[in-house]
Amino acid sequence: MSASVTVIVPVYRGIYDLTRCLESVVAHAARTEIDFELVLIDDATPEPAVRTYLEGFRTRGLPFPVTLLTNPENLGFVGTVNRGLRRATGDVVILNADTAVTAGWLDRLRAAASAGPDVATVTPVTSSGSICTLPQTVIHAFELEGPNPQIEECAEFVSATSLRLLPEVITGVGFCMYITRRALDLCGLLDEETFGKGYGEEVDFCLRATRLGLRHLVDDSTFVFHRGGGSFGDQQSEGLARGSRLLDERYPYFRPTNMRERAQDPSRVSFAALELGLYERDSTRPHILHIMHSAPGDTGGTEKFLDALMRSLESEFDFSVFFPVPSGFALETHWWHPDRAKRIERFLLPGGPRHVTRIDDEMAGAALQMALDLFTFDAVHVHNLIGHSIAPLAVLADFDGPVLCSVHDLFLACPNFSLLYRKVEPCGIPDDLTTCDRCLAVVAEAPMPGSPMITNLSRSYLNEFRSTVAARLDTVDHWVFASQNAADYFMRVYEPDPNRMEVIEHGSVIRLGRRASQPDRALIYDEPLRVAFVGMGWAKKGLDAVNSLADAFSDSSIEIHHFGDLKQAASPDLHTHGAYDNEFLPELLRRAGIQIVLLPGPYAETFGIVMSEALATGLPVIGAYYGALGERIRACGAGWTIDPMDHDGIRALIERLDRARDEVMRTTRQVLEVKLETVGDTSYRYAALYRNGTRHADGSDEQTAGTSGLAATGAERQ
Amino acid sequence: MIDEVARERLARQLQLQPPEVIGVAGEVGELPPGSSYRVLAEWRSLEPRAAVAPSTAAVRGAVLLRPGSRFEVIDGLVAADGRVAVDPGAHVHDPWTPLGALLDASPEGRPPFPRRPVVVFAATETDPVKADWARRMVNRLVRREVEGRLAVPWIGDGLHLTRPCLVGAASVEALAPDVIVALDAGAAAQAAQWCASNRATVVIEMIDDVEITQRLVSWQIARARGRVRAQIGPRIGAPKLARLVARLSSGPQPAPPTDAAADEAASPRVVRENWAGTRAASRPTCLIVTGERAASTTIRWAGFVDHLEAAGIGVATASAERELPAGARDASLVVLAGVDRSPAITKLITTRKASRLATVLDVEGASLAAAADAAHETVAVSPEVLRLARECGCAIAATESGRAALTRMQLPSLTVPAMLTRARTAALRSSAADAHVHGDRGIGWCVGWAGEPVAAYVDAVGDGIAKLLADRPDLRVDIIGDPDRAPAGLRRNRRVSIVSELEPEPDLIAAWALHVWTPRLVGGDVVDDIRPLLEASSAGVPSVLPPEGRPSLDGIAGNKLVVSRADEPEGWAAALSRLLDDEGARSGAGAEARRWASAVHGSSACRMTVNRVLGWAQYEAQS
Repeated sequence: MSASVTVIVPVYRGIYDLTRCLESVVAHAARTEIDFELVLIDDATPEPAVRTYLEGFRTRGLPFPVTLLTNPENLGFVGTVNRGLRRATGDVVILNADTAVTAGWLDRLRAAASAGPDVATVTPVTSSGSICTLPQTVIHAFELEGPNPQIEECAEFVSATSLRLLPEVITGVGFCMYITRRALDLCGLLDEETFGKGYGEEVDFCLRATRLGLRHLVDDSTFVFHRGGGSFGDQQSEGLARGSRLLDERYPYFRPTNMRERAQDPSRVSFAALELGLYERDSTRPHILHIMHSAPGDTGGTEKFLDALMRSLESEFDFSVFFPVPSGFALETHWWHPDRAKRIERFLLPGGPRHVTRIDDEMAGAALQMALDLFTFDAVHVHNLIGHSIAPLAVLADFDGPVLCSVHDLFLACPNFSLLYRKVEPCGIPDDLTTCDRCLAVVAEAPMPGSPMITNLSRSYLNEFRSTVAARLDTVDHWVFASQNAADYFMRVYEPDPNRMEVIEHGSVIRLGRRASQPDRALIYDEPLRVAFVGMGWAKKGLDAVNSLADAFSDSSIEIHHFGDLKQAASPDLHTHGAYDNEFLPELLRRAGIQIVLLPGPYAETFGIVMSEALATGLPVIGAYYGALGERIRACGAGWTIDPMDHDGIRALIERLDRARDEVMRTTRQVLEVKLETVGDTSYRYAALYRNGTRHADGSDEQTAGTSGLAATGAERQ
Repeated sequence: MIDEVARERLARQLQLQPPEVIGVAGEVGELPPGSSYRVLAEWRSLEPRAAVAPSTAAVRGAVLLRPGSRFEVIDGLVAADGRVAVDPGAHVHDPWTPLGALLDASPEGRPPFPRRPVVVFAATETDPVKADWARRMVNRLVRREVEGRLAVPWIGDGLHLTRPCLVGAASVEALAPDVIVALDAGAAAQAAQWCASNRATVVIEMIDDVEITQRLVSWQIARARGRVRAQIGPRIGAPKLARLVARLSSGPQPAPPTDAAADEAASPRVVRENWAGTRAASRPTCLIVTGERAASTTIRWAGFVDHLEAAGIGVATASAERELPAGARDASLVVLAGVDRSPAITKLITTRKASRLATVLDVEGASLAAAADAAHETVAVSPEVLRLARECGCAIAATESGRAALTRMQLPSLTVPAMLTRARTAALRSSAADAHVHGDRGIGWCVGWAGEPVAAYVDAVGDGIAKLLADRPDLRVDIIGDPDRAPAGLRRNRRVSIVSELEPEPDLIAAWALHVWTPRLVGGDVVDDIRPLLEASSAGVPSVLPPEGRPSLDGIAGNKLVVSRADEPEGWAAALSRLLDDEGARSGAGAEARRWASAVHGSSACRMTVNRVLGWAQYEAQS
């Protein structure tokens, strides 16, 4: 025998499966580049039709050598394969008779086996084959479990969509296992004596190879159909149980290792790519990738904003959202299809089962690269890199389209992105890093709620973090800030190109047109003063101050209310209303008779979505003198500014407002004159950046989006 | 000069004065050092309204007179031909009055209602040109929502909207400015020291370069120059400087935080001790006094009582036909529902008023009708009910139109929409979750009960439904209410069921594909409460309604659910038919309706309402 590869097909029964298997080998032989021989071994089949077919097949004059061996008595699968192995001189493929091979199968298996000198086996992906089994979505899409499986179509799809990652597994799978000559020479034959008629023998072979330092790969670009259970029929379960027991005895570590492997699923990336590939996108629609710190739909201002932005632009754009999950990263598609149905699918991408806390996390970078490789994106919009590290900015440096970065919070300025010194007082991003040292020591021990635990937070970490960001600033073509103030905070640490900075106010995420044209005089003058704290009930948003107020006003007519989830204990004098449906917040505030919305958080907001909701309701706000709240309150006269650390000052202000209802009335009238926009109203500016934004690789590319002159320095001359 | 704050206060004071008082005056007052006329007006506005006093002489200041009143101005004094009251809460400013001596700024130089940034223009040297520039700039800034202040060693002549103060740490500490504009080198050198106690204050340097309007100074770490954030030249205009000040006032803070606040936050707080205690003793109590009421009103009050109980409020009901319980005099709130005037009720109201306790009348939808003699049809309260409401002093209504009618009668009022009991809501939601029954029974329509007024367009709705029944052999209709109120044509149809239960089984409601809501309309407003709408929505059944009913759904009713005119049978038939054929639209609208009912009328929202009623009523009684 001189063929490079011997394909061994043990045959027992099942004329239909056998015919499909051998005819598939014939059908794809002509375009197979390597020389191979086919060894058919009749294991004393009880079916005359099988015998007749095999004899006829042998004599058909096929363009590759065919050998038919007949066992005088039934040897079982292992003995039969070993008979073939003994004849082979080169590499071998053990091919079950209930399989069907597909175009290019053998060449690709051979190529995979040549990936390294230490490869022992290669197994293709299949319709039924342990860890090599395709995802159910793919199986269903090609009806692989039905009476008319679309085998060739599936193979074509797998070949075209595969990432060709050749994931490594702890054992190959016997339905179609390519075994290298090196492995056969080192490991010998299958263990016929122990495993008898079959099941477990290929695992045993693979584990012996592994002990010798060899590896087992899955060829994720080759699909071989496998019906499953055909070789042994009813004896399958009995054989499985026996093989399993034998493996446990011989390799006590195998079962836990196997379970771990199944949990982590080394093929998941390959399979995720295939799943994504199923959903063909309308390529005429621009495709935008959003990078988020959490899943779309979660509660939080950024999530609400993104949801509204995507809804506003869905008539023109397709979107995908990339975000961390506990086991890695996920990509969620929001695509409109030709049938005009919106398709939202979520896929798991690689990553570790942990929170990313390093400055430059390779896994996070690799996951983003994977997402970028999976699809064509026309623009990338970074919203938040918490949970990603700074690695995405390195990955995106090579991205062809425009990269936008919306600064929803100041994570890029400091991993303690609340900018609360020792989790209490706004830090203002100090010059003096010894202040940061004291703060980061506290944060490292117990981070703010919602922040990742970074145990090595320190001044040196902060320096390295900021240096890394500074070195990658040019990756971003458009830095987008929801307020001038957010840009000013950012410029405390970095000096981005002013021509790449733009202020686009978020707009309201809820419907507008719900406020009255005139203030409700009776509400303002004839009811107790009711002040509502709206938002998550924790210290970062000012619950401490609110509790103090509720305590202080317990014996007065002034009422302090809270709308939102409570994360910490609340004063019994606080009127708590719990979580609410955001879309109906204006109706609820009216129902409760609220006259003023209090936003007492010490956190320097970058925009203040709740403030917009208050204005949409027609209510003035009380908010920090600094941050976007201060900027916005001053700009439109829609409320009053406070120092969130000065609880006595807040109390004094509320007492004054209770006494001076004219002031409440006047400010409410002012609120009703504030022109409001929704996210939809401002979305055209993002659309322009997605459509026309250009790269700045050589510093000379045209800047098509608007510039706003946010430079921190430079003289302005009249 | 008079600020808007003072002007509005005078207007409101004049409204409150007896007719013989023809005007209310604010007198010219002296500004505290470091204050502006506007800030002083705001501080003065905190004076109680009752502080107004009659004037015995001509007033130096501003007088707001009733139309047609006669007056003279002699030597800057206003003499009115009648009684004038002076309000010490209204400040009037004379910008030409000679200023007093330069003193350290008063803490009242800061606005009591902080919004406008405070900017101190500080100079250590006497430079008349620069001082005059600063004076004019301060005046212009005050008009642009920036509280400019002069802290200088010398006061120049001219119009002053503020009173200058002495330059130095004391003035800066009192004013706690957001921005200091250092007018000379001495001020620039000392500014940081003056504001050492305020980590937020930033400094703008004035430079003598006429070519420069404004120039930002980088605040990037390692490049920042302490608190200095910008430089300005003398040619900068007030609008540009106002924008610059507003921007710089928003941070980031130029000075680092200290450990004091964090240490304090970490320390135990005594104030929280009372959190563990119970305050049952101070819990309010409520008594509902009922009279001869329509059946639907009974259900309305069952919801209110249930949510009062859920809020931990002690609640009891009593019949006006019997002797009222002793607790009626002391309950925090008494609500009269369906009660007629009687000596016992009047006595109760009077007794409670004397104790400053609120008695509130519930004005039912049946008490509302079109105003007979109005040019435009409006909602009016029946005279008998109005009399009782006036006795009470305040009233509640189930609809906004009812409240508006009460407001027009100068009666303090509040809207208290229909509330389902928690058990009823849960049952309806549970039925809605049972997808098997949904849509099986076709259309549901509540026609109301005997004794209740009827919507004028019910015949049109009946004809529309009859047409639909003729066109659709499989369609079924459930009519909820008195059989006599169902249109005769429908009563005879064997596919029409009449359910005479005040609270139909939740499964029956949830089985409807559509609900038809036909509230009574007066002058284009809904006067019936939203209970049928709320029940159907809670069960996930979308409601088809007249255009006037749309606001009742807080904007969630899509066009498909709203007929173009309430009185056109074809419109009702067409709208219902379209929706019956469009399961997707129906399902979407049903989900929206359920979401609305849960969010805006769920138990949490109902608790808000009962809390508001109590707070409002007690506030009214105390005022």
